[in-house]
Amino acid sequence: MLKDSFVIYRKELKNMMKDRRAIFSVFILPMIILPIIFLTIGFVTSAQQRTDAETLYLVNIIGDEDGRFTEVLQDFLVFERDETRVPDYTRALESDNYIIVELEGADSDLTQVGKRLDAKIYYRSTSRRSSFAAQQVRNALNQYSSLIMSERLKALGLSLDDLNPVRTEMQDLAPEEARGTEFLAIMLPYFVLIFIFAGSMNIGLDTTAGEKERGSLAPVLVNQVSRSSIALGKVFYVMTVAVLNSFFTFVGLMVAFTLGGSEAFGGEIPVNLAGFGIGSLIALLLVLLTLAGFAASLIILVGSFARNMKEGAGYVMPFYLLAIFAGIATMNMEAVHQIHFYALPVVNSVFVMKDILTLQFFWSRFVVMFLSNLLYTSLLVLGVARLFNSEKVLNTGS
Amino acid sequence: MVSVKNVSKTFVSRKKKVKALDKVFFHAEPGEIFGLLGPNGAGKTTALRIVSTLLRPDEGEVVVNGFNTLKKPQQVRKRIGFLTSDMRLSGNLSAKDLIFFFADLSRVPRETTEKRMKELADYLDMNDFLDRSVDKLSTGMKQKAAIAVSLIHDPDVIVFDEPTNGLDIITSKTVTDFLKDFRERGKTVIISTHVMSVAEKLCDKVAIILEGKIAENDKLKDMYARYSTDNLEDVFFTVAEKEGVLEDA
Ligand SMILES: Nc1ncnc2c1ncn2[C@@H]1O[C@H](COP(=O)(O)OP(=O)(O)O)[C@@H](O)[C@H]1O
Ligand SMILES: [Mg+2]
Repeated sequence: MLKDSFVIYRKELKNMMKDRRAIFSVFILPMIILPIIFLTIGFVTSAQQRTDAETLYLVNIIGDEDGRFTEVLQDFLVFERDETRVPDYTRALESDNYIIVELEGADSDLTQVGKRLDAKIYYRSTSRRSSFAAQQVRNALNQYSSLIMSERLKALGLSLDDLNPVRTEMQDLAPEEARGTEFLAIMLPYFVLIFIFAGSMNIGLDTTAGEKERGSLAPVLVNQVSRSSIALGKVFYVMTVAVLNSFFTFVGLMVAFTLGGSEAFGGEIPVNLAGFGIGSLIALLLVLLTLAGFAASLIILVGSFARNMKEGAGYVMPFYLLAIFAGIATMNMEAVHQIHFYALPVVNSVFVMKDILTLQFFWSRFVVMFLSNLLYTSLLVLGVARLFNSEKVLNTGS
Repeated sequence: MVSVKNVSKTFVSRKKKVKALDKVFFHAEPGEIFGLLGPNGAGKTTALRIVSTLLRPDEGEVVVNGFNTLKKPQQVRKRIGFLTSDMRLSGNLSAKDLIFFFADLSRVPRETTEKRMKELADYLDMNDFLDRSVDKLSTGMKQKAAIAVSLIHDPDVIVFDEPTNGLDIITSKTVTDFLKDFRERGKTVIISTHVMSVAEKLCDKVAIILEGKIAENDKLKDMYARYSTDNLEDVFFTVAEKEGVLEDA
């Protein structure tokens, strides 16, 4: 039986391996596209941040009689002063690089206890640059405030340090190699899901509904090989492609992150690949295998009901969208603790992947996930075998 | 030898029940081409699929070279080559790859496959494109490859659904020549067709099937004598009128 399945498996795989387009989309595409996406986002974000910082702003500072604040601001923003000293609010609303700072009380001697400075910043929140400048003015005002504070303290014979009796220091206990993996834990399961389902969808439909449409299924069934073997061979084939697909997705993401793509999402620490030991990689591979098995058998089952490719695509689409939805919904979720979640297909694989990627491995979760995926896949494969053994599999609905 | 006795088949779908075959019977002997002639939807494909073990009859029985299709389907499959004009070989594999694939499915030993492939390639004049991927072949070449694929287990019976459907004249000739040749070798050939002239020129024996029922079934010669005519068209329309299928159309 397994030997017969292998005949089908080998033929399908050989056929695919000779298809340059399929090879490209399964193996090459994820390795190219992911680094490109991530690096582009990262590049654009940092380029924007740079231009924000390098823009020459026009700041109308009203009420800074001694010019001390203006001096402080020079450390925070590249700007020229609008010397009109008349607030032009319309301009602040219309321009990206014009903001107004009104200081009230800066003329009095602020080192005197009881004196106060009121500052107002006029900017436009819908402009990225205007917001950036406003934020920098705010930072400068804080700095200015500290300056005045230390002058007041000095008069009393104290310093700023005297007012800070508590010193705080953060000690990260997460293992060195696990740091910076959160981004991988967020992105990888999502992309793996997409690639596994999208990858198995095309070839899974082609080998079921497509075969029917081309009339090439019937001759395969008039032979010595049992229909269950044929069904199993097809499932193995789609599963193999899905696993390869997700493996290269993994590689693509790793490349993206090592090249610094995690900056795109605010990550500062480059991912340390050495952190993943052989154990983690094997566990990850097992998750991919069972997830791919599930996706492959699901798509083969659904595709075998369809009479042609078009109908098949319609049948499979809801499942694909569900999987993507699960991917998005769980993207920013931390792995949950309730064990029954690990019996939910797709979601369970996502959570276990997150566990592995953040170097927190729980045998119980892994085992529940593994066994339940195995169970679902077996049930689906049984369904496929039953369908192939019934006359429905030939239904081309003429 | 293929013998079909009182075979009925009803398809049940959500919406309706279709009685595709109603007590269908026919007989095909070695060294003979038998044709199932009927309009679209008459039940030809269903009948040939039952003969090839792809479908199970609801009642009646089919015996192929002494083996019942329900009781010994594997034995039947060993002896049948199944072809349809709907079948379009496609993909990136070569004719040779596909021949070996189907040989594996039929459990033909490697050496035997090699030998038969050589014979078939010579006979069908396929040597030039044996290694080319089938997607790159012309319709005629594809048809030859399909024939080679279905003959690799050296069947005694060939079942061909609408053999010349959608083929150009030259490819049609290749196919009909091959079927005649197969008959000369003492094999049993069963075809279905909705084309009068194909049945007329190719078949020794014809059954006219109308709405799932066999309306006429005889050697062509004898049929002509009984209807005192020299062509199949007269026979067909006389029968169709008697059965009342012309009014429905
Ligand atoms: N799998 C099926 N399910 C439901 N109805 C079918 C199926 N296959 C064939 N039929 C119906 O059975 C009848 C005979 O079909 P078929 O054998 O394909 O005719 P033919 O080959 O002579 O054109 C038609 O009415 C067709 O719609
Ligand atoms: Mg037909």
